[in-house]
Amino acid sequence: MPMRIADSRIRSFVETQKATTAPKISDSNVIDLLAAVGDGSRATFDKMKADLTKPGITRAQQLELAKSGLTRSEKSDIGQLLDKSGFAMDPGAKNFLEALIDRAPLQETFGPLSFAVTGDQKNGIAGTAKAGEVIEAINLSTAPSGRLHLADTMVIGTADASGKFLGTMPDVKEGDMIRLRARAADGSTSDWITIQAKGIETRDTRNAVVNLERVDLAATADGITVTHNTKRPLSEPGAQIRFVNARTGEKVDVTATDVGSLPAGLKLPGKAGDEFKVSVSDGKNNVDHAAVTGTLKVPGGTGGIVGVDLPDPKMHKDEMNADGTPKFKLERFTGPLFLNEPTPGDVRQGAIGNCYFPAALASVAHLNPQAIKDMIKQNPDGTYTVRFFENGNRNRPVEIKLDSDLYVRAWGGPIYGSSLGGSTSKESMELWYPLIEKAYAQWKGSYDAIGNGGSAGRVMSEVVGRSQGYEWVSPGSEQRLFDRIKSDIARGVPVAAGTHGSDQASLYTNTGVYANHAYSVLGVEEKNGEKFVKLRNPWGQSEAGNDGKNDGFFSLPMKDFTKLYSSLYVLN
Amino acid sequence: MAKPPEPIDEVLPAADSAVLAKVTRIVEQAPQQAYERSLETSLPTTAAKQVVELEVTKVLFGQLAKSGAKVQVIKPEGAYALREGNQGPFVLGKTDAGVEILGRYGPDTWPEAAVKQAAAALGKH
Repeated sequence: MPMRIADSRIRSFVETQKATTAPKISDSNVIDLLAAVGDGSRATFDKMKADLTKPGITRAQQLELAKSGLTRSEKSDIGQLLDKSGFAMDPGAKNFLEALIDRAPLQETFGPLSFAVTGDQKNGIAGTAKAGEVIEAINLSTAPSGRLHLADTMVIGTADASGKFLGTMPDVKEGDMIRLRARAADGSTSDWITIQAKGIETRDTRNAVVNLERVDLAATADGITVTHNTKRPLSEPGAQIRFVNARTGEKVDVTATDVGSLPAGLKLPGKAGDEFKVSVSDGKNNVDHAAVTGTLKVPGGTGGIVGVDLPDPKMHKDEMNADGTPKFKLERFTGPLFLNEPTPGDVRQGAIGNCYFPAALASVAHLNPQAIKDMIKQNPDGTYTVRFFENGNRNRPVEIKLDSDLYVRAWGGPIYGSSLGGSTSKESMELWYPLIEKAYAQWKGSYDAIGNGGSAGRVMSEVVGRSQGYEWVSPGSEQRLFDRIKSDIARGVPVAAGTHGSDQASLYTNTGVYANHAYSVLGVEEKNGEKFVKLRNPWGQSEAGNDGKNDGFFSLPMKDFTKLYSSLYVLN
Repeated sequence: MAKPPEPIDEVLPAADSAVLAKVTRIVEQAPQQAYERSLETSLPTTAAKQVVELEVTKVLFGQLAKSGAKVQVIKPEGAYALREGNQGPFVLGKTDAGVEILGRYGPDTWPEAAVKQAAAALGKH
C-alpha cells in the first residue's frame, strides 16, 4: 500500500529523497524532518530548525522540542515513513523517529542529532556539527565546468567548541547547489547534505552547465546508450538536459540526479553517426533551451580510448612564425629513458607556461618512481608509448605513441621540458621527463594546448590514476595542512601546491617564491619547534632561502607557506 | 606566467646597463586587473605596469645610472610586481618610452654573479 503523507513538508522531504539515487534518512537530514513536525503555531520551520541545532542541545531536548509541535497526522506520516518508505535509515535517526511516535525509548547513546546548515548564505555557510568536526564542501553548480569529482571537496571551516561553524567558499552565487559533509578527527564522515545557496544576490542569473566531455554515446541494437564517463558531476542537480537528434529532430528531456548525473539506463533514439544537440536549463534561465551547449556525435558503437596514435604536437604559439611554421627545429634524441631511478631532481621545466606539469611529475617521481617507470616504455621500432589515465580513471587508460624528436634551441638543448643532472645533448640526455611531456602535448593537441596554464592536481590524477582533490591554503591553516601533507606523504600519495595569481605578484618579489606558479611538495619537517614544508621549484633553480645550491629544493616555514601559497593539490 | 627566467645570454645583448639597486618609491601603478582565485597555475595573466624609483648602490656595467643616484625606470606589464624595499640586480635597457627593467622577474631573474659573468663574457663593462 502506498504512503499517504498529509504534511506538505514531510511530503516534500519524501519526494526529494525519492529523486535521489539512494534514498536515506540520516542523522543529518532527519533534522529537516523534525523541524517539519515540530513547527506549528508555536514556531516556524526555520525557528524550529535553529532550536533543534542549538549548540549544546541534548538528544532528549531535541525529542522534547520535536514532540511539542507533533500533530496526529504528522505522527501517522512518521509511522508510514518508518514502515513503508523502504528508505535506508541511520540507526540514530531511526531510533529518534521511533521515539517520536512512542514506539521505542530514546537511546541517548546515539547523541544529539547534528550537522545542519542554518540560515542563508549571505555571510557564508553557517551551521552546526559536532565540536571539532571539519566541514567539507563542493559547489555542484560550478563543478561540471571545472575538473572536480563529487568528492573533490574543499575544507570551508571547523565546528567550534559549541558546535557552530561558519565557512566560506569562493565564487558561490545565488542558487548554486552546495554539497557538504562533516569529517570527524578519526576520518569518519557524515552523510552528504545538499543546500541551494540563497540570500547572496537578488536573483540567480547563471544558467546551469553541462559538461559534454563527460558523456559517451554508443549505438546499440535498441538505440543510443548514454554514459556518464566520470565520477565528476555532469551538470547541476535538478537541471533539465535536452538531447535533440539533429537528423530526426526527436527530443529527449532528462533531469540531472542529485549528484549531477544522468538517470540510470538512459537511451536516446538514433543510430551510429547521429549527432545530438545538447542544451540545459536550471528552470530559471535558458528555459526554452534556445542556447545549445554543444553537440555529441555517436561513434561506431565502441567506446574507450586505447592505443591513440596522434600526430606530433605543434609548438606553442609563441614559438610559431606568422605563416604557422615553427621557429625552432626538431632533433631526434637517442639517450636512455632512465639513467637511474626517477627522482624530482630529473625534471626541468622548459620555456613554456606549464609549471603544473613538471611540478606534478616531480611529485610523483618523489613518492612513486615506479609509477613513472610503468607509464613509459620503449617499443621495438624505436618509438615510445606513454600511458595516462583519462580523468584519473584507471579503467580509461590513454596510450600515446610518439617518437623522440624534440624542439631544440640553436645550441642544441631542448626548448621545452628537459632533464637535469646530466647532459642535455641529443645523444645522452635522460629522456623520461621530456618524452612524457611531449606525449601529454600530443594527447592534448599541441604544446600550446598545455602551455597556457593548468592544474598539477589534474596531472597527478592522470598519471597515477586516482581522483584529484584540493585544499585552499590560507593563514591559520598551518596545522591542518602540515598534518595533511605529512599523512599523504606517509601514504605515498603525491602532493603539489600552487601560489597566488599574477594580481598578487608584489607579494613575491625577493621571497624566492614566484606568483602563478606550481611547486612539488616533498614533505614536512619540524626544526627547533617550527614547522616547515619541503618544496621544489620545477625550474630546477630559484628558491627561497640560501642553501648555496640553487637547485630548486627548499624548505619554507609553514607560516610563510600559508601566506604565499593558494592551493594544495592532493589525490583522493 | 611562471615560465623560468630567460637564459641571461638571450637578454643581455639588448641591455644597456645593470645595477644593484633598491626600490625606494612606486611612482606610478597602472590599474591591476583582478583575477579570480584559481586552481590552475601558469595562467596567461600579468601584473600591471609600474614606474618605480631605484636607488643605485652599485653599477655592474653601463652608463644609464651612477652609484648613489636615484633613477626612474619602467617595470613593464609581466610576471612580477615591485614594492618599496625590493632590491637586487636590475638589468636595464633603453626604449622609446624610457629605461625599462629587463628579465622576466626583474631583480629575481638572475643572481648578481650570473649578470657579472655574462656581462664580462660579452665585453660589457
